[in-house]
Amino acid sequence: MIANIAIGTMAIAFIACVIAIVMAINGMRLRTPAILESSRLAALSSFPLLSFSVAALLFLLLTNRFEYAFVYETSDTFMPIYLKIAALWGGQEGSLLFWCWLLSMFIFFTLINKKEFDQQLSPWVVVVSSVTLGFFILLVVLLENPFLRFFINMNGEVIKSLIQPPYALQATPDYGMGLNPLLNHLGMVFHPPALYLGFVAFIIPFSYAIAALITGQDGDLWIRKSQKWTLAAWLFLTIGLVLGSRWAYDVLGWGGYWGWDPVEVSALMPWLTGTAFLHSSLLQEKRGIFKQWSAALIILTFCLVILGTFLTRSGLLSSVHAFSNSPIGPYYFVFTALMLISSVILLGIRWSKLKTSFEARSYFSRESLFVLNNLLFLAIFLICLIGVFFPILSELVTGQQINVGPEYYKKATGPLFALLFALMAVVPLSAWSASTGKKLGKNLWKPLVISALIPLAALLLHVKDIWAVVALWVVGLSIVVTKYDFIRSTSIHAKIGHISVFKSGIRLLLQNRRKYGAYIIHVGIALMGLGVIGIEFFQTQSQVTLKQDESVVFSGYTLTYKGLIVDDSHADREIASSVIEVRSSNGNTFELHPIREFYYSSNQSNTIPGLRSTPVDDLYIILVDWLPISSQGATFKVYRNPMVFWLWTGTLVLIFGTLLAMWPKKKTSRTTAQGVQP
Amino acid sequence: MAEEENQPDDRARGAAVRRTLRFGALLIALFCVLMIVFPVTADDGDEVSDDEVNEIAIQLYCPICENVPLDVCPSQACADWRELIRQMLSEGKSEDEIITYFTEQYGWSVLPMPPKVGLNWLIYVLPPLISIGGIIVAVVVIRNNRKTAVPQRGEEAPVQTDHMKDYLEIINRDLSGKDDDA
Repeated sequence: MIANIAIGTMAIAFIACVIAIVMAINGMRLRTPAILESSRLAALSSFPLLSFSVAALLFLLLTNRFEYAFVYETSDTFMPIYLKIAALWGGQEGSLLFWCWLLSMFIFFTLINKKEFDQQLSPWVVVVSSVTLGFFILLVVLLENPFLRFFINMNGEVIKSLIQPPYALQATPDYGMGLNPLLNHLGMVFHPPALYLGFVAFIIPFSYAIAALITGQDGDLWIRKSQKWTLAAWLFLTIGLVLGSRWAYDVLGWGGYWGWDPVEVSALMPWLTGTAFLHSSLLQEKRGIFKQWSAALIILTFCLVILGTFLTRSGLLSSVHAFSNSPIGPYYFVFTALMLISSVILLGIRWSKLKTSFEARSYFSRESLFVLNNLLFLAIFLICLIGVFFPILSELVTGQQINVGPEYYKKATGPLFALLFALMAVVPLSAWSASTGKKLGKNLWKPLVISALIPLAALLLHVKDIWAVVALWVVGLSIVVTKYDFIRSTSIHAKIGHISVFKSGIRLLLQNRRKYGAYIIHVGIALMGLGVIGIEFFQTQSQVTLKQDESVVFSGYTLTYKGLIVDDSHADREIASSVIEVRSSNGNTFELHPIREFYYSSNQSNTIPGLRSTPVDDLYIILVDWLPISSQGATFKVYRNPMVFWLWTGTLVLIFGTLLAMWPKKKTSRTTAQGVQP
Repeated sequence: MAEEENQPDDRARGAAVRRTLRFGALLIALFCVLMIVFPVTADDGDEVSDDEVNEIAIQLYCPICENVPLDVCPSQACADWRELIRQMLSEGKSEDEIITYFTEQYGWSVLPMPPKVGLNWLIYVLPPLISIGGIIVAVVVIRNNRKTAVPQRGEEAPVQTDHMKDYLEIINRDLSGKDDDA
C-alpha cells in the first residue's frame, strides 16, 4: 500500500515538473506574474512529494520487507539501523531516488523565498532545474523503480513487477542479501550523501548560468544569486571526496586513501572545474571580468557531474564504486549529450557578448595569476579526462584492454598541483592590475626565507628525494604566506588601533569573512597537501608472518604478535581480532588490533586495519586476508604513513574556512566607523 | 642335486633383495613423512620474502578484479599468482621476465600502464602537451589583455604594495566589511 502511494507521489512529482516548465515558459511569454508564481509553486511541490517516496522506501528497509526486490538486494535482518538507512543509496534504484530527492531539495530551498523570485532569471531556473529533475524521476519510475516486488509465476520463475501478474503469487524471502561487506562501514552513511549533495547542488549555479545566457544578461546577477549554492556544492563535494578517501583508508586495506580508480577520478573532475569556477566567478563579481570563463566552467562542471554519474551507473566503467550494468545507460548518455550540446550552442551564441578584457600590466598581476590558476585546473581536468576515457577508446580501436593506473595521474598531475600550490602562495601577495615581478618579489622574500627552513629541515633529516623537498617547500610557502599576510594585517591593526593582537585578528576575520575564509581554506588545502606528500613520498611498507610472541622491527617500531581473538557471536559474520603490541623508538608501548571479518552470506572477508595516528605518522597494520590466521601465527601487512594525519585535519580547517566564507553578511556594519587611521 | 645345492644361495640372494627393497621402501616412507612434517624449504638465504614478491606484484594488476593491484587483491586467483611470482623468483627469474610472462599470459590488462606502442603513445605524449599548451594559452590570454587593456570596474582598488599607507587602506577595507578578494 505504502509503496503504491510512493509510486504515485513520484509520478505526481514528474507531472509537477512538467507543469512548472510549461507555466514558467508561458508566464514569461505572457509576462503574467500569477502564472510565474504557479510555476514556482509547482517546482516547490516536487520536494514534499519525493520526500514521501523516500520515507516510504526507508520504511520498507527498516521493516525488512524482503518481498521488495530493492530491500532484498541491499538489506538484511542483521544489519544495524544506520546501515539499513544507508542501504537507501546502496543500490542503483534507491540511490537514483535519493538523487532525485536531493535535487528537489535544492530546487525547493532556492525557490522557497518568494521575494528572491525575480521575473528574469528565476523562471528559467525553474525550467532548467525541472527538466533535469523530471528526467531523473522518469528514469526512476520507468527503468529503475525501487518498489518492484517478487512474484512467482506458474512456471516457478521468480519475476520482479510493480503489480501482481496474472496467475502469479507474491514471493517473500525470509532474509535479504545485505550490503557488500565493504559497504558495512560508517563511511557508507556519510560519504555517498555528501558526494551527492555536492554533485546535485551544482544544478543551482548551472541553472542560473543557463538562465543568464538565455536572457542575455551579462552582469554578475546570476553569480551573486547562486554564490552560496556554489560554495555549498564545492564544500559538500570536497567533504564527499575526503570521506571517500577516509573510508578507503579504513576499509580497503591497501594502506592508501586514493587509488585513482576511474570512478574516483570522475568525481574529482567536477571538483577541479568547480574550483576553477569558484575562482573565475570571484573575478566576475569583483572585477566584471572572466565572464566567458565563468559560464563555460559551470556548464562544464555540471555536465561532468552528469557524466560522472552516467559512468558510475551505466556499467561502462568497472570499479569498486560502480553499480552493475543497467538499462539507463543509453538514456543517460543521450541526456548528457543533449545537455552539453545545447549548453555549448547557447554559450556560443552569447560568446561575443560575454567577452571582457582586463588590464594586465604585468604577468604578475592578480588577474594574470588567476588566468594561470584556471588553466592549471583545466589542464589537470583534461589529463584526468584522458585517463578515464583512454582505456575505453583503446579497447574500441585495438580490442586490447589496458589500464591507466595511478602512475599516469601522479606523474602527469603532480607538477601541475605543485604549480597550483605555488600560485596559492603568490596570489595573496600580488595586486590587481599593476603588480610587477619586482614588487611581488619585495613582498615575497620574507615568507620565502621563513619557509626555506622546511626544505632545510628535510635535508637535515636525510630526505634524498629532491621532488619531495621541493613539494614540501611549495606547500610550506603557501601556509607561511597566508599566515604572514594575516599576522601582518593583524599586528598593524592592533598597533594602531591600540587593541590586542587577538582582538584585532578576530575583528579582521569577522569583518571580511569571504577573504579570510578563503585564506583559511587555502591553509586547509596546504595541510591536506602535507598529508599527500607524506604518503606519496615517504610511505614505507612490509609484509611479515609472525608466530605468537615473535617480534619484528619496522621503521623504528617493534611489533610483537600477541595472539588472536575470534568472536562468532554475530549472526552474520565472524570477527577475528589480532593483538599486536607495538613499542615505538621512544619507548612508548601500545596495542593495535587489526581485524578480519568473514561474512557468511556473501562468503567474503573484510579487513579493518589496526591504526595509530599521530601528527608525525600513522602506523597502519592489516591482517593479510588471503593467508591463514590463527593464534599461533598470522601474516600482517604493515605501513608507516608519515603526515597523513594532516590530510584529515586540513579538511576540518577547510570546512571551517568555507563556513566562515559562506556565513551571511550583516546588512549594516558596525566597524565601518572604527576604521584605522594612518 | 646341483639344483638343490644352488637353492640356499638363491634363497639368500632373494632375502638380500627383499631386505634391500624393504630398506628402500622404508627410506621412501621416511622421506614422505619428513616431507609432510617439514615442508620443503630452501636454505634461509635463498628464501623469497613476501616483500620481494610484493615488489613485483605491485607492478601488476589483477587480471580478474579490474583496477586492483596484485599485491593487495584478496582473491584466491591473485594469491595463486603471487605464489607463482615467488616460485619464479626462487627459480632465478628476473623482474622483467616475470612481468613479461604475465603480460604474455593475460595481455596488457595486467600492466598498470600500457606499453609504449601504437595508439598507446598518446597517453604518454598528451599530458605534457596539455601542460605546455595550458601555459602557452595563459601567456597568450595575458598578452592579448595587455594589448586591449581597458579600465575595469574595481579600478579604484588600490595597488597593493608593502607601503604602510596602502596596507592600512586594505585593512580599513577589510574592517568595513566590503569583501575584497581572496
